[in-house]
Amino acid sequence: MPAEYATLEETPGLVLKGELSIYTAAELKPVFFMLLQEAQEHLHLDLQGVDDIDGAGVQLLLLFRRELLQAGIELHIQASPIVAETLQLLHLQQHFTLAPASPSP
Amino acid sequence: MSFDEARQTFADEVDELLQQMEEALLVLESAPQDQETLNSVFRAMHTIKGSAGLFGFDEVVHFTHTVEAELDRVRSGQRPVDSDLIAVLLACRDQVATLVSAALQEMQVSDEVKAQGQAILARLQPVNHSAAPKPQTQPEAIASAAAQAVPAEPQAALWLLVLDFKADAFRNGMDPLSFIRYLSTLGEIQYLLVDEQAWPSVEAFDPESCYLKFYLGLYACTQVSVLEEVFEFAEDDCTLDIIPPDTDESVYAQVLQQASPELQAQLTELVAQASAVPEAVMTQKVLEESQEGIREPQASAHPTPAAKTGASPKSTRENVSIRVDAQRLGYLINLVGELVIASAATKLMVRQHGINEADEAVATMESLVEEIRDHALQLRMVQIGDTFARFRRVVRDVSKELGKQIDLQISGGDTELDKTVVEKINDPLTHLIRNALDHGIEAPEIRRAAGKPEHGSVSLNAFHDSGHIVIQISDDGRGLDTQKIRAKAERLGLVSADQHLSHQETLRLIFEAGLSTKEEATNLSGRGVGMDVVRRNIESLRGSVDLESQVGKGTKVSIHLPLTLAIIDGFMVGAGEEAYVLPLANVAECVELHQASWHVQDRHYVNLRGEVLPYLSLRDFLQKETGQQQQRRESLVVVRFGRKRAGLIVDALYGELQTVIKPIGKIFQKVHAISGATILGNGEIALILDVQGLIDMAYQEAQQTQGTSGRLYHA
Repeated sequence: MPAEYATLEETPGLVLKGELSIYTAAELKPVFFMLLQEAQEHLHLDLQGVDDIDGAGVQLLLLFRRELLQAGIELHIQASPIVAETLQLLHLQQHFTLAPASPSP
Repeated sequence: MSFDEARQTFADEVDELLQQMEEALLVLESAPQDQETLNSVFRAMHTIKGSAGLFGFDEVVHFTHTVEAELDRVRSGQRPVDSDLIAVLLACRDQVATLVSAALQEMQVSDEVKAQGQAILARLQPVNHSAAPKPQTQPEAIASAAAQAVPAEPQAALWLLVLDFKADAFRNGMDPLSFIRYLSTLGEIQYLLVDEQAWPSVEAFDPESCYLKFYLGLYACTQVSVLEEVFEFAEDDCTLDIIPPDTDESVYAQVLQQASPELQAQLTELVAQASAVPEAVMTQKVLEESQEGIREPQASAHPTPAAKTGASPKSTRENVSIRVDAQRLGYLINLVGELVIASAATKLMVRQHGINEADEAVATMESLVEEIRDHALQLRMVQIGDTFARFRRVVRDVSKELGKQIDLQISGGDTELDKTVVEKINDPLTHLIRNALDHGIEAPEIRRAAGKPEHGSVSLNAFHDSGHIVIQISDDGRGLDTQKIRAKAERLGLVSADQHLSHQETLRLIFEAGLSTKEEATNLSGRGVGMDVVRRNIESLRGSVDLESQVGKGTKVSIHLPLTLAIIDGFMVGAGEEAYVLPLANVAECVELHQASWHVQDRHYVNLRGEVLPYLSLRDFLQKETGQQQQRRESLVVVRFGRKRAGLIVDALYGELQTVIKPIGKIFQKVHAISGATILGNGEIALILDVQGLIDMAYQEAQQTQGTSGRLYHA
């Protein structure tokens, strides 16, 4: 799945499109963590183009979040409707700072 | 898998399931509260319905669906288990067997069978809910069950669910989210916490493995069974704990203390709120639990109030076995047989050429081949207990039909025998059991008058004895009246009036065709065509049947069968120029004897340490070289079969060998002393002798020298 590094208002980040699922989790893990090296105080994830997310995808996000917390980095997520709905179902919306949707760079 | 193979698997599966269902129903008759057994009846119908659906066997699906629905009512306690229910469920089982059989043969179900089915279903559902059962799809059924708000739980309440998905969940195609989504349709998920306690470090974290564990609070109006059913398909990939509302705090405490410390506080608060227990009390309990010390593995930490799946009761049916094609197994066993021969040939070659260095290698090979042989043969062994268990139904039905009270006792069910033998023994056994039920056990009034307990008993027993399996069918009924038998035999001309027969010999007359002393043939037996067929069937398996009986006390029929039909441990002997093989299990001992003591008072008996044994000279008997006095040392091999013993005179003793039995073709079927042939290591052929036949011959010869006219020996 296409994952691009992008900077949003000087915050390093990642734009994901397509699936965030068991099929893409393995390839995404290193991508996420490369980002970790770069981040300072904030990191953003643009998931507006994610049209499918499953348990493996959520698990990866949670892992990412754990690492960020430990490093003291704040994560901002822009969610597509399906991502938002899934996070809500799992009562996870308070775990992630959901930024308002914005036009993708 | 081809379509035909799939159908065969379906047929086998249905067979097995219906058998289990029948056994389970019979167990339920005496133990109606046994929930586990009741579940297995339900599962049988459920599984058959599912599989039949795959093939589009609509009749089967409709019928099993109705039965399954009714069983569900029984499971949830809305209907009690009583003898009427069991009787109609047994009828359902039979109907399913009929319907499946018709479906597999692609035959239309006859109107008669259809009507029968309707009648059974009418009996099953006295208060008929729906005249035409609609095949409902699974999720519908679950949803409607949940929506029905069964009387037991009229109010919505908070359930705590602990969902621990296992590492391979994703790989096995499970998405935990779909389960949670479904749960949210049953009620409101008030809280959901993810327990990351067991998560590894980033480097060790495998994104394709599942580490998800959820603590979920579901506010709903539902039942344990409904929740369990949601996770039915995730059995292997998810450990599920369901803690219903109003459970004791200590149970909650036990559950909570296993959560990660970060979550404990939060969970404690949430649970306390829901169960109206002061939070402080709950916290205290959790603390107590964590100080308890030894932790048991999560799945088994809860006492009874909490309902559990995970270590699922559904997997008590210990099916750790594989289906193997019988033909392939037969082929394997043939190969093993060839291996045995090849190994013998190698051993012989090594010995002949005196290659001492190879001795050890040959010995190792021989012992390995022996092990393979034993294990290969064991693959085909099945316990006779399964066959015995089937007779419970027969006894139950027949005793009801005859108005008698009969108990069936089974022992030695774990005795094993070759599968091919098991299949062939079924008919003779059935006949013998029916005899015991019909002729043996008397009606209750007669028993009472005779001072016997009203309940007659029939027992099935099995055990191993010198390379054979012995099956005994006994009853404590009226026994066989030798006088009547004798009279009938005389009438039929089988025996002359002045002929002397021992008690045993008279009893054995019943194996003669046409002999049945039941004055009036009943529906079941008594037409006089039974016992001779039984004996023939058993003898065609190289077995034998015998009986003991006492008038007024009872009868015991004993069947001897060889353990396997393929390979035997043998003892090789030589007579004249030929080599012969005797089954080792039938060889009692070998003795050197001098000519002088061979004739006991001119009869063909030998005096063996005081025992009088009839004997046979193999050379004379098999090669017809009578009268030739041999100068070589001769030996006497004492053989036995059952309780009979006899001696065989041979010229040479060659020792033990294991060998494959090769059948010898129809021409030799009538030759009673030979039961097969084998190929020796040196490529020569040795005949395998039938010990039973030889012993009978020995007795005959001995009698003949005594001067009496032919006795009634059936060779």
